[in-house]
Amino acid sequence: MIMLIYAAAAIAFLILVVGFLQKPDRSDPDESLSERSCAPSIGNGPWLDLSERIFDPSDARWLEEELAFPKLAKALIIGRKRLAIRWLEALQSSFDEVVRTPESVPSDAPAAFSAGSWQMLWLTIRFKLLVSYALFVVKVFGPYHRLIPSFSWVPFPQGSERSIRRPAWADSRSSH
Amino acid sequence: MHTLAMGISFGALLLDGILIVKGMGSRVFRLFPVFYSYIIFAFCGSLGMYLIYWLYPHVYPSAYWIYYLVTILAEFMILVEVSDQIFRPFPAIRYLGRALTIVISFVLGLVYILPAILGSTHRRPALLAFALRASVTKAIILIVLFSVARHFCSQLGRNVGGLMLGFSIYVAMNIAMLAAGKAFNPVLSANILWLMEPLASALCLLVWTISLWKLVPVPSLPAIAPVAGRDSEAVVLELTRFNSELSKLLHK
Repeated sequence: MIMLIYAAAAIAFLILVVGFLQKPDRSDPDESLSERSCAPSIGNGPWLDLSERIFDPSDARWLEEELAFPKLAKALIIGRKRLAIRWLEALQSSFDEVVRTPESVPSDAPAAFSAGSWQMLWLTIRFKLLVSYALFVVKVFGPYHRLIPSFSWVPFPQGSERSIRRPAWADSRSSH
Repeated sequence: MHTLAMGISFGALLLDGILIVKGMGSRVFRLFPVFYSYIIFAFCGSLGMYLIYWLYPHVYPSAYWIYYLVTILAEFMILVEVSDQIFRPFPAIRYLGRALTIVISFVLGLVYILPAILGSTHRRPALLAFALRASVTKAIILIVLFSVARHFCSQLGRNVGGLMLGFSIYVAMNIAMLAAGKAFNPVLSANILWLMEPLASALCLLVWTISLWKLVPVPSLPAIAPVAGRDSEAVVLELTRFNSELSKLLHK
């Protein structure tokens, strides 16, 4: 039985490899063009400012709490969620374009591996992990959820919490 | 079957020789020094194995396993070298292939391969399990490398693509063969190994010989060709800006 599983895995592996060796199908050039056009450069200020609007919950709250339009607020949140996902995906595409940019001067094997290569790799992996996490949080919890957990649910001991919030010298000063 | 296996084995040795002679005179040799060192080692090792088989047949099983285990370990080095070539044109992810190969090898080595040796009491099952798990690890590395290369639209080219395809055929055949070796009785599994091992090597060497016949430069990517290439410092700057923008968003 185990042998059959391994044999099937070996065949599946070879099929996958042959599939990977096929040239990627660029069947819809319009789609890739539109994808590229919605991936602006990181230097584009207005595009970066757009994230402030997308991830800002104040107008949804205003609609829900002050104007008492909960359905409208819900619709706005759903729209914003879609926008947030598109914004993050555009940021990712824009980043991928930078990563896929070849070096200006083709170099030979020994010179090609510079000291900065590891730093660049770290920045790439860090970005990829963070953007995947952000996309996950936005898709699951919505655009107005905290992306970094607050840890308020962690039951810190009362004494230590007090000591963090209020230093000892402050207590002594208030007692006087 | 014995004669057939010997014939295939001689064919593999011949392909080995052709690959070395052809590579010596070309620039491919400079591009893949570890790979060619391995090929030379495999060629000399196979000749040595024949000598041992004919002159000292009682030593052959032990010598064969030692040689086989050394080649298994050397193949990880080739994977590192091949993975270096996949992302070579892109400064931001130049080390990605190497990092992935080393991390996967290390992690699976610790949690998957090592327990097979430590947990086994007999030599034969331990060796078979070690070889099988090492092959599965190589298959996983190859799949990850192929997928990441596809994700970043890195074109492999004929040389690197051929090397990876040859390796994949070899690894897949090894997995099936070693699993059969573990499942069947020692006599039957020895017969399977006797025939399949040279067949896997011969097929792999055939693909390598065809793909490395001459140096074929990787074609430029159509989506990137119109964009001017950047130097490493500019790329570092842009990557840092992307990271800081995302960090700002996360801290809100």
